[in-house]
Amino acid sequence: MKFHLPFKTSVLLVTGMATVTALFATDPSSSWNHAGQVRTHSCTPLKYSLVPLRFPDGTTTGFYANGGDPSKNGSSPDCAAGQTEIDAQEILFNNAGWDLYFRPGGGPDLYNDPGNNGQYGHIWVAELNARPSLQPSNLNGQGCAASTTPGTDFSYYIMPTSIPGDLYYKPPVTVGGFPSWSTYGNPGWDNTGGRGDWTYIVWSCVQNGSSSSYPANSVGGGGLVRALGKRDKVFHRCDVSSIHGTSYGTNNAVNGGVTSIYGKTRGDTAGSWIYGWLIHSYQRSGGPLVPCVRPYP
Amino acid sequence: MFSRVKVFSALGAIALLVIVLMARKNGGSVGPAREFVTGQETAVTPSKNLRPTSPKPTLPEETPALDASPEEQARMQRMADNLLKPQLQLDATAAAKVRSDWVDRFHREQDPLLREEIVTEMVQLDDPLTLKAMMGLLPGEAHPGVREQLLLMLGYLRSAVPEIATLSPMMASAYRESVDPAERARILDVMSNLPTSESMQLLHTAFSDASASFEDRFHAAEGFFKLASGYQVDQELMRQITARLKEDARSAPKPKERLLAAKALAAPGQNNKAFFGELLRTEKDVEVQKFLTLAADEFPTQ
Repeated sequence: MKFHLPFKTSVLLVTGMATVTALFATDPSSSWNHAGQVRTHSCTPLKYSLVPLRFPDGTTTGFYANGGDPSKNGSSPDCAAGQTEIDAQEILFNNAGWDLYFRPGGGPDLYNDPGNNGQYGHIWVAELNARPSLQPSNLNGQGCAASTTPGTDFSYYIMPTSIPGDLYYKPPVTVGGFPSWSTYGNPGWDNTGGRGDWTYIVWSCVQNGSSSSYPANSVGGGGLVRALGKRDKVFHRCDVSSIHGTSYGTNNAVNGGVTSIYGKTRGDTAGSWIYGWLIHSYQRSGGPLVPCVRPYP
Repeated sequence: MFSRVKVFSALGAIALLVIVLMARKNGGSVGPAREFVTGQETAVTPSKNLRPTSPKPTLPEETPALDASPEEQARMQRMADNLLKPQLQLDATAAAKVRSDWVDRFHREQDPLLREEIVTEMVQLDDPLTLKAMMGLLPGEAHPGVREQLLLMLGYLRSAVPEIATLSPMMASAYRESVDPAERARILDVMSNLPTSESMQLLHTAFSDASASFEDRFHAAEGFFKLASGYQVDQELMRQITARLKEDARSAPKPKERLLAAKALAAPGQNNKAFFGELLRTEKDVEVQKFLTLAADEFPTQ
């Protein structure tokens, strides 16, 4: 017995099935990694001269925002004494219901004593004298469910791991500066002389994973920090393709790779979900693959 | 024969599925995928985009990474992908065959870089038998890169923690036998990521060993304190390690040794600010003073 379907019906069915197939497929990373992320540079008054910086669960990192060393705030007006820079994209909540705003740190171009006063972290609103106005970019960091698709259905313990400084995400001879993947390894350790321990969850990745070389593989505004990734917190991968980034050596030649994954973590069991990109592993040419997470459970 | 009603029903089902899947992608709710706390929203002021711009950090000195040929780039991509592949679902016989094939290929392979790649393939069958197969590859392997890959993947396997009673003695043995400081440091680092009492004991033993160098003690203490940040460590062992480090920081003959001890004591959660202030009064070396000044200014963790 033969089935005969009208042509239009056949087209509709085929289109419908293709749509279903596409929806089951893992999202391309490009849908979750948009160029154009910017900080809000909101100068916000501190309640005390020293205010602790915190992980998303509210525990302290060991570092603080120092009202005596406010951010020079990039191209925006310098923050005044007694203020700190806030990237007012959102408020996170921890189990205790604390409102937490993100304080981006920076180097010697932004702070007189970057080692002590230029670290990243959240600030509890009770330690601010005013709330900054939220100005969300609504560009990156979209919410997602933990993946159940084989191949992306992994969860991991965050394991901040130092990345060698000679793995650059932009060819250093061409761009200058220190655009190193090490920034996203264990900056808590590397930037404090071993007095801290954290990695970063970023809104968007510094590269897009395309095989093309710089600047085509670069993402404008990539690498801005959303939150600190605390050791042993669980990161659930969402159904989004990973990004295999390229690293360059001091001679601009490709010398390794760094893989990032998109997903979510939270400070504690009832805290806000934090969505973003996390480094999964890195590798220097000719060397072993070094994981920066370990499987959960 | 399909009726039009059936066709419409099928399309309706597809539409429903589309809605459900969109909800799944959005974390369970139908609507815009973005999740931001709403509040006093104002227009975003265009401003300079600033990535983290911390000063060039002090990172371990390493031989510069080599330029990667296209073949090497492809190998690195394959290795990274191996860790992201779904677990193989095999019955016991098939799993044993796959493990045996990996081990055979590993032994036959002359190129150490391809042996490293085989080790990453083994992660796809993460179970106690694969862990043991991987452990069995270490003693006969001479290439430092392949040995490091084995150590890293042994620590990465999900089976590492449940099988720690098997893994830890092997790691301890490899640590004792190794004359490569980088490998010894890697073993301590791998173990410090596994929250178990066996890891704690191994790190303490490495620290207390009479033949331990200052670097060995530093790495062991660093690992012990890292473990202590998320795992209930034995407070007596903690006290012993802290006391020895304080003694070294106060009176080791070489500035480098005093600096290493001070750095270990400055690990997150250790709160030795007052001690650093005390050392600053007597320390003469400029580099050590510089670090102590930084560390004495640390805000206490809570």
